[in-house]
Amino acid sequence: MKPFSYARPASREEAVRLLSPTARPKGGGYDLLDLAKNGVSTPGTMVSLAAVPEMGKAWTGDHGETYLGGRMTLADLATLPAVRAACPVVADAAAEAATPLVRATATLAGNLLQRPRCTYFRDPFFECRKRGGAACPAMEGDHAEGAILGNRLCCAVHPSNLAAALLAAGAELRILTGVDGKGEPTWRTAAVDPAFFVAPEEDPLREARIGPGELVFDAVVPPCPSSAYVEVNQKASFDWASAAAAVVLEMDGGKVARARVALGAAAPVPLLSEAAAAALAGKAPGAKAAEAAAEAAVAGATPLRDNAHRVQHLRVCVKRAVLLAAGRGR
Amino acid sequence: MTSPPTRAARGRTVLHPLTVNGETKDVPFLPHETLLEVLRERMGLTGTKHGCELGECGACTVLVDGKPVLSCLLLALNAVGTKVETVEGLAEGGKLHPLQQAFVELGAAQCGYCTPGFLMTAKALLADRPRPDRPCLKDALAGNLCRCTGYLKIYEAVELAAERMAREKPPRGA
Ligand SMILES: Cc1cc2nc3c(=O)[nH]c(=O)nc-3n(C[C@H](O)[C@H](O)[C@H](O)COP(=O)(O)OP(=O)(O)OC[C@H]3O[C@@H](n4cnc5c(N)ncnc54)[C@H](O)[C@@H]3O)c2cc1C
Ligand code: FES
Ligand code: FES
Repeated sequence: MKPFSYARPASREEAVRLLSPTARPKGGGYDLLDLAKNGVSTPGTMVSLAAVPEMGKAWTGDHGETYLGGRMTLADLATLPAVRAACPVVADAAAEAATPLVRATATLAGNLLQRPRCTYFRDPFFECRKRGGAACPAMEGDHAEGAILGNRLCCAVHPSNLAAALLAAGAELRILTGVDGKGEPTWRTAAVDPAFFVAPEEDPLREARIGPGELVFDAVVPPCPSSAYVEVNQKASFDWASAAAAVVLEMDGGKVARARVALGAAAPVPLLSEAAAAALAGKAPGAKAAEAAAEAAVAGATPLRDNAHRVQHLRVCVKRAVLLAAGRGR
Repeated sequence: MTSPPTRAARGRTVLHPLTVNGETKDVPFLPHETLLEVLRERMGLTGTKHGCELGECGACTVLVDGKPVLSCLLLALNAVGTKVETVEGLAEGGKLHPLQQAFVELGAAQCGYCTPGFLMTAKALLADRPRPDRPCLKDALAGNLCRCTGYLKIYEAVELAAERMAREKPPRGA
């Protein structure tokens, strides 16, 4: 590993002041250290967020929205009863991620902003568009775990379970951008919507619209009791998703007034499927509507030579997530 | 207990106090060294194993303040001011820990490479849930991989140890 310096600020102001293009905030560090070991990213300074107060907690706002601290662990997101009740889609997504050993340390912001897991990206021996190369070797090479949508230039899927869940939930990030002349923190908010994510066509070098000096303080999640995240894996114990769907339903009587359907592990960025949402609007969310939504979600799929199975996996995820969400929050 | 350092400069080896298995020692290491590297290469504690280095296999599991962590992905600096437990600290006074004893008796280790990680994860589990049922046990151990045993012996050994430990230390109020 290339040497780096280390800082452990005790306040959010100090933390954001320490950030720069070469100084990375460190949540659990599980992705940062992995990337640093294989030489894909070589930060000059790791800024540990472990001692920044407030960022490790969840609390409920006046309108039933849940504030989730940026360094809350996936284990906490998966198990806190308040999170499960207010936004089950987030709790499901956290519970399905990785192993208990990883979940105990990995954080909300780190999970959202982790880099893709494509083998070619993580091995500097290969050329890779995500590291500034001119081609994507996975297109011709091993892409069994590659994208089935939005895969024209690069087929590394977006790795984050929480990204799909926060997208479906219509969450908003509260981001610290720096400190003003009086030492007070400056802020911006960013909706976790399709515009937050950056597809390879626009810039293959990043997946999210967040600056190097910015710190995700927390995520604000509107109440979404009728919601669910479902993924399909090749291995039963733990595995990266072969496909995932996060579904949030707003119900009116027995019918869906509005739906948000996010597709995970399907494309280089998490996708909001307008077509799937439209297939659910005004319908009772039973098997028929769920199947129609699943079909609509995969309609534009462009699977590669070796990953057509993921189309069916995605169908299954959408259908199951709709039915699970419909059964909740009644 | 010492609090963790707030700054450490790149490339500078500095002595930091690390508390491992109840003993605090000043250990020299660089800011970018992982706890796994420091335990094995600086402290000679080679019981903790170096497996995938990616967070996937759990061979490097140690306890930090009682919580199982992957030492291959944890900076040693993050362990300053905490209590680290490794497999070397399990046996007491020459007597194996009940988990180790059960692993030996039931043949839950073959090549043994995964064993220290399993023992530490299991220790944390039993501290939290003294009598886990099988699904809970399987879930807790899902981050530790074993290429030899097929897992069944490992589950049985943890259950046997749990039973013996519960007998030795009856639950409060019993
Ligand atoms: C074996 C294994 C299996 C896994 N399986 C899954 C899975 O199935 N699904 C899944 O979603 N994930 C999975 N993961 C990823 C894991 O869940 C972690 O989310 C991931 O490793 C990063 O979390 P972290 O907190 O350690 O992030 P870090 O490594 O600390 O950070 C990751 C990135 O986020 C940035 N960052 C961190 N915090 C902030 C902040 N507050 N503000 C701004 N930027 C920040 C960092 O600078 C870095 O760029 C897996 C990981 C492993 C090792
Ligand atoms: S060596 Fe740490 S998880 Fe494999
Ligand atoms: S005993 Fe060989 S890997 Fe588990």
